[in-house]
Amino acid sequence: MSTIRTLEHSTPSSIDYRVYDDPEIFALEQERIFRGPVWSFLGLSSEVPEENCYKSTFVGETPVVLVGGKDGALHAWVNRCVHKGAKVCRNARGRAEGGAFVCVYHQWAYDATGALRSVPYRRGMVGKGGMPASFDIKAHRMMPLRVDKVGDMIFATFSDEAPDLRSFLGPAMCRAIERIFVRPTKVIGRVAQRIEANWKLYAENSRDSYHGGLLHLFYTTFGLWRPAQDSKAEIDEVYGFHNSFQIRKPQQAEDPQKHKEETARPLDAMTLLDPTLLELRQDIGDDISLSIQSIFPSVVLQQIGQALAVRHMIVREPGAMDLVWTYFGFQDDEEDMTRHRLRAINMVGPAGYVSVEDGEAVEICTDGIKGPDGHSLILMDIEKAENPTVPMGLDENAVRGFWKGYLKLMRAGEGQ
Amino acid sequence: MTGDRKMEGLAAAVDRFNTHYVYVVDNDVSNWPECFAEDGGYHVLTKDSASEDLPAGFLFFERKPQLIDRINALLNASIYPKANLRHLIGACKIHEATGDRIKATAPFVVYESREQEVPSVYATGQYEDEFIRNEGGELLLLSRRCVLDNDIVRTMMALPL
Repeated sequence: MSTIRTLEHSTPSSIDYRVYDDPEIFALEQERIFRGPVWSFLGLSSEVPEENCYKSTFVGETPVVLVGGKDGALHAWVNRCVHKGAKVCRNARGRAEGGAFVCVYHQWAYDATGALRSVPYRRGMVGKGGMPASFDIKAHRMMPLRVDKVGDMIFATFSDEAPDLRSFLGPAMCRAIERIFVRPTKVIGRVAQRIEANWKLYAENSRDSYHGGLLHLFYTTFGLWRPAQDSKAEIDEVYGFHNSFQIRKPQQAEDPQKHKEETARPLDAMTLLDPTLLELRQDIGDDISLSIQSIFPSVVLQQIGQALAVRHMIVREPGAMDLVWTYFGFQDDEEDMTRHRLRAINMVGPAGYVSVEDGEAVEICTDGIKGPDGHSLILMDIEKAENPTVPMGLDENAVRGFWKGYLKLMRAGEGQ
Repeated sequence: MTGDRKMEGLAAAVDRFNTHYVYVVDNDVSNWPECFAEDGGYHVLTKDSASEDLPAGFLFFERKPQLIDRINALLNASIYPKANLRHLIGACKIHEATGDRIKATAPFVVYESREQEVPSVYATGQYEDEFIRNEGGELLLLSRRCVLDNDIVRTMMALPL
């Protein structure tokens, strides 16, 4: 089936399985999504805290470097030497002395903005060799991206057509991001998992509240599941492909007996010997205990108790992605709060009690869709399609929202 | 010379403990918490984070009851690929021995064999340990910090390293 037919066969509630594993679709995504009119996450402000601090990352499969410039300016450029295409910045993070980035191969040197500044033996030696006289050093630079940020989240786009970042995110998503970044933050650790699955399977997973209590059995096994939680879901106003879920803390002080009666606690539930990892502390200044925000195409901002993180999907190939978790806290955290964040992080990440299953869930989808053509069924609450549906866990509106935006971008220029 | 002999004796004791630890995690994982003292900690993070003094990693447990919760969750709630893990721990190095406390490091490798797949290396790294002795004189972990060389793992992290 041709790429175009595969896309035409797909609707937000029924995705042709080839959309996940067709290499031509993957190549088209690079062009129309990752290099298209879309802002992609690069990093947190605290990862480039000062001038000439940098972070190497990716936009789609393209290696991109984010650099802190003068007076808080931010630069991003494709990590590719104009000479022979070598990767200029070879470190994941660091500080470039004097803002100089030098390709190790032939020592072509660039400044923090990615502009070419010097070429060794440009004029040759003793009248021999060197670059042609017509070579204009100012005419060459590594390819720049537009950079902007909301809260401490820095994004970039290749596209001149992309709207400004705040318009791309929409007011509700900007509010949800700025809710987290109320004070200056600091990175407190990083981990990553290689998931042998297409990135869109994980993008669906983070927008899918339906699987929460069904795949992640930690809460039910330990008798902690409360079915009718006070939740709120939002979808961005413009595209519908970003979304957020939030759950509020219980309003009254917990009566343990009452809590027990209200839970769907199975009779044989086990007891957690040490529940300190679940303690909620005063932190951001509101009563929201959980917030999971998926921003198209490739980042999730989360607060689960005191575990604050961004999950960045690095797209490797049609069937592989890396999920990079960057944990952060506030710069004014006392040592005891940092310790509590470390406890809360046991709930999340590649090893976390309520997330260890996600890698396996999207890998078994990858295994299962091989073979005959077919399509998914994303129908939960499609008839009423309340937007948003509460309580969470009963609809797939945000998953359909992802596909609505994805298909629109992928079909752009096809005269659909 | 007596000092050297004492260190050799401690190293032999720690190596014996690690042999036991490997046996437990690979054959009898529900007893893994018994390798730890009551206030024994278990922490897994990347070498990258450790070198930058960033404390957060994969897991952070401060007491044995949390390790028992972890095993109960892994054996009764969590869903992850069916696999055999095989731990190999190299000879330890003793860094400090004062009173009943021993600080030691040891390199480790964990191989993973999933059903119908050829085996792969899941993790390599170094244990940074602190031991105490129980009343019977046996070593127990007061703290095991697993510092991973790899900054990424395959699919997820479930069973103990």
